[in-house]
Amino acid sequence: MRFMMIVKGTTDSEAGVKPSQELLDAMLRYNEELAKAGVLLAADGLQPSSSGIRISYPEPGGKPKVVDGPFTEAKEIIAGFTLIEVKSREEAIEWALRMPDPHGGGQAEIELRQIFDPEELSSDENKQEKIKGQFRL
Amino acid sequence: MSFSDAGRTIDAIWRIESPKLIAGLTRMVRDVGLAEDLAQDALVIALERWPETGIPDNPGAWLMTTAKRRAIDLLRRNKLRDQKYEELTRSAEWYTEEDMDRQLDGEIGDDLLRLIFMTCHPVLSQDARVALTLRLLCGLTTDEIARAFLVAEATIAQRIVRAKRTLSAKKVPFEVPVGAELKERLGTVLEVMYLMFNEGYSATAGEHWVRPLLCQEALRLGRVLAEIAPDEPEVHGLAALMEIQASRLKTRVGADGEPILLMDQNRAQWDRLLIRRGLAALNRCRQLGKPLGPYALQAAIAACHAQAVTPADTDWVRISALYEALSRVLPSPIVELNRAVAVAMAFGPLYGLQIVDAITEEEALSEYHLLPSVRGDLLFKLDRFEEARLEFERAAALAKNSRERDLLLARASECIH
Amino acid sequence: MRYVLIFKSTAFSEAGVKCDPHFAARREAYAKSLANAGMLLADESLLPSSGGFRITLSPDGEATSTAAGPFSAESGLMESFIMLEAHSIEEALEWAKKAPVPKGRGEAEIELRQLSDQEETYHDPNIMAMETNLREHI
Repeated sequence: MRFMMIVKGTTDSEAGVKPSQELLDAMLRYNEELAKAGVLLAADGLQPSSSGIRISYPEPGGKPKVVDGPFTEAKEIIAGFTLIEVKSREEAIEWALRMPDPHGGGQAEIELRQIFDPEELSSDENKQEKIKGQFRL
Repeated sequence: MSFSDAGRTIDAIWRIESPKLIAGLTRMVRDVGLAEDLAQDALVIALERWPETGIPDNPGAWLMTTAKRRAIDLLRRNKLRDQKYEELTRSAEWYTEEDMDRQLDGEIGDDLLRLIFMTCHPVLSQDARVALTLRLLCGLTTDEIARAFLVAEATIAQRIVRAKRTLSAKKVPFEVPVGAELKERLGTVLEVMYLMFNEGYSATAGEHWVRPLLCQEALRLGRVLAEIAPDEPEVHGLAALMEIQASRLKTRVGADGEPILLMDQNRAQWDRLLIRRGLAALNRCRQLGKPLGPYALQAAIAACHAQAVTPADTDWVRISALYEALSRVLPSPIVELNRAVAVAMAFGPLYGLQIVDAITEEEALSEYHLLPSVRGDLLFKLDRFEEARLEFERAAALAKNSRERDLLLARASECIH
Repeated sequence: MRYVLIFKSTAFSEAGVKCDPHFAARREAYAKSLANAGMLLADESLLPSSGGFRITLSPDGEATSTAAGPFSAESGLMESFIMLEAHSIEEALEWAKKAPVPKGRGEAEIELRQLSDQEETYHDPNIMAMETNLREHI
C-alpha cells in the first residue's frame, strides 16, 4: 500500500527561506534510508505558494475562478511530499515518525495519508469487489 | 497504547529493522541461523517490554544491543570458540545510536549485500534460495511465504531450516565475491529476485492469476540492491524491468479473473509512477556505459510498450531489434518466438512465420505448446484459417494449464468461417 | 538432499534387551558429530513391535484387518532411524558406514535411503517471463 507523507508549509518555507545545511543533510540521510529499505517511490519539494495558482469553483456548474499565490494559512499549504510503498499502516507511521523534524519554529507538521488503490475508486461496487478479491492474498 | 496496537507497531519495526539486524549479527557470529535466532530473541524481549516502557527512540539500536548481549551470554555459556567470543566483545560497543545512522551508507549496506549473496548462494537449491531470501531479507513469516507459494507452511519451515544448516555446514563465507566470481554470483542473486517476481507475475497455479505480494517483495529487494550495488548495470536493468512490468500488474487481469492481452489493456490505468521509475533505472543502467545485458534488454522492450500511448504507437521495429540483441546474449527458442511476434508486427506476419519455421524442426520443441500457438496466430493473420485452426488445436492438446487450453480452443473455433 | 539411515531390528532389540552403555555413548557421539556438521535432521528410536499394530488392506482398499504385534524381526522391522542432510549419496554413504552398531547381538543391518524431495527443480525466470509476454500477445 502506498502512503504520502506531506510536509506542511511554514512561515519560513513560504518566505523562501532555505532549510539549514543540517536539515538538508538529515533529509538526505532519511531519503537514503528509505531508498535502502526499498520503500521510497518519490520525494519532492514544492516552491513557495507565491508562484502557485488556485482554481476554485465558487458557483456549482459555474466558471472556475483563478487566484494567484501567495496564499495565507501556511498550514494549508504543502511544502513537500514523500511517496512510500509499505506493507502496513503501522509501517508507514513508523517511517513518518522517523522523518526529520522540518524545523518549522513550532509550526512544523507532517501529515500521513494513504493513497487510494485504483480499484477502490471504481464506482461499480460489484466490479470493485471482484478486483479486490483477485488482489487480496 | 493497547497491547495489540503495540504488537502491530512492533511488527512494523521488525519489518524495517530485521534485515539490517540479521545482517549485522551474521557478521559478528558468522552463522546466519544463529543470527536469526538472536534477532528473534531480541524481538521477543521487545514484545514483552515495549508495551510497558514504550517504544525506544531508536528501536533498531535497541534491538541490536539486546541481541548482541544475548549473543555474548550464549557464547559464554556454551564456551564456544574463543575467537568468536573475542570478536564479539571487541565489537560490543559499536552500534550505538549514532553508529546506526553513520553506518547506514557504509557497513550496514555492505552487510545487507553480504547477506543477499549468502541467502542466494549456489550451494542452496533454487527453492531454498527464494524461501531464505524472503524470510531473512524481506522479513516475511514462514506462513506468508507458504501462502504466496501455495504450499504447506511446514514445507517452507523445513526448507528454511535446511538451508541455514547447509550454509553453516558448507561454511559459506559472509562476504561479497570479487572478480570473475562476482559476475556469476550476482547472476544468481538477480535470478532469485526475478524468479520471485515471476512467481507472482505469471502465476498460473491456484485461483489467482497474479500474486502481488511476491511481485512487491521482489520489487522492493530490487530497489534495495540498486542502492547498495549501484555500479552493476544488470542490477539497474532488473530493477527497471520489474518496475515497468509491475506498472501493468493490475490491468492484466479482468474483473472475472480472466487474463487481458497487452494490446487490450487499459493504458490509462498503467501505473505512471512505476513507469517513470523504470525508465529512470534503465537510464542509470545505460549511463554505466557497458553493453546491455539480458535484464536491461528485456527492460528496454518493456519500456517500448510502456511509452506507447496507444497500441498503434508501439515501436515494433525497435522491439524487433531489441529481441535480436537478446537472442545473442540469451539464445533460446522463447526469445525467437517473441522476436517472431515483434517482427510480424513490424514487417508483416510472413516474416514472423519465417522465424518460427526456422525453429520448428528442433526436436526439443516438439512438445512445446507455445510454438504452435504463435504459428497459429501468424497463420490466422495471413488468413490461412484452416492451417491456423490445426495449429491452435495442436497447441491446446499440448497445453498443461486448463485455462490456457480453453483460450487456445477458443482461438481454434474462431478459425471456422 | 535428505537421506534416512534405517537401523533394522534384531531379535535382541525386539526382546527389549538393552544395549550396553558403551554403545549408547557411541551412538550419542555419532549423532552429535552429525549435528556439528550441520547434517542431523532427526534421530529417533522405536519401541519393540510388541506395542505396535499392522493394518492390512484388501486389494480393493475396502476391508481392513488389524493385527497386534509383536512381529518377526525378519520381516524388516525398524528399530531406529537417523535423518540427515547430505549433498550426495556418496557423502551419506560415508556417514552410514561410520554409524555405530551394537556388538554381540546378531547381524546388524542399516539401510540407506534417499527421501523424495521435490526441491531440485530449476526454473529460469527469463524464460518464465518471456513465456508470459508471449501469452499476452496471442
